[in-house]
Amino acid sequence: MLLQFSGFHGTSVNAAKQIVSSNYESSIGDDEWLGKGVYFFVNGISSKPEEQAKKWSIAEAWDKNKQVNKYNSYCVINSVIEVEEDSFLDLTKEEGVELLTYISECFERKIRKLNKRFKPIDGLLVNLARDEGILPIDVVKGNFYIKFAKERIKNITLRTSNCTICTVYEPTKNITSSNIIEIGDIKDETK
Amino acid sequence: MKLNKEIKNRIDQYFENISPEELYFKAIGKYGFEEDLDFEIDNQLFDTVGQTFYCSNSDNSVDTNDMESLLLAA
Repeated sequence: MLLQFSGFHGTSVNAAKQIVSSNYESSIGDDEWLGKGVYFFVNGISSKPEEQAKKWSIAEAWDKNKQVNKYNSYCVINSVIEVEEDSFLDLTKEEGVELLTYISECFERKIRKLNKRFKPIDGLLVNLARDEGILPIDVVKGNFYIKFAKERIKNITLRTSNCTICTVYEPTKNITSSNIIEIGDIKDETK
Repeated sequence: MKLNKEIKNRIDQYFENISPEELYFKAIGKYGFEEDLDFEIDNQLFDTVGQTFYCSNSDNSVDTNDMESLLLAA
């Protein structure tokens, strides 16, 4: 069964223009959360993922060392993600968690034979499962606690997830369309 | 994606066919895993402890713990 849903990606205006023209070739994110790929905010814990994408692009603009914004205008892209159910790992559901837990246990058991252990990182396990040809994982979804500007400034860190995000490993395969839905000035948003 | 019989078999096969050493080096070198150095082995039973030592058939060394050997050396 083919699944289809909207993903929202927040970035700078310049990056957004490149992303839309190249279908995200230039936007591979951190791989420790859900594995390699392009990251999106999606519907789930929050019903306003587009708002979270905007807040993310504003938070990411700030250069902590130089104390300036790296870019002055934010941008939100809405992309349509399509994925076969068999290639979709949903870590917001029991069945997805059960699968990742099983891989983690097999991995840990094998490494323990050497009396060693690795720091458990979900995204790296996803990469291993995909790249070793164990599972055909194209899209992964999960719930996380993400710090936006307010949380970073006030140093608020909760354990409770506040976002549902997903990563798309091969954008050209699983993203069928992308449109810029909002552009704004960061200064106006941080007053 | 569910942990059905087919997927479970694929996972099992992969981990059965790879040696711990190969997985260890692959995890670090290819996937960026970091070793947990704070890891302590606890609540584990060790049945036997292997011991290997070298024993020459023609050992002519002087045993310094043996008083007679010391006297001979003097």
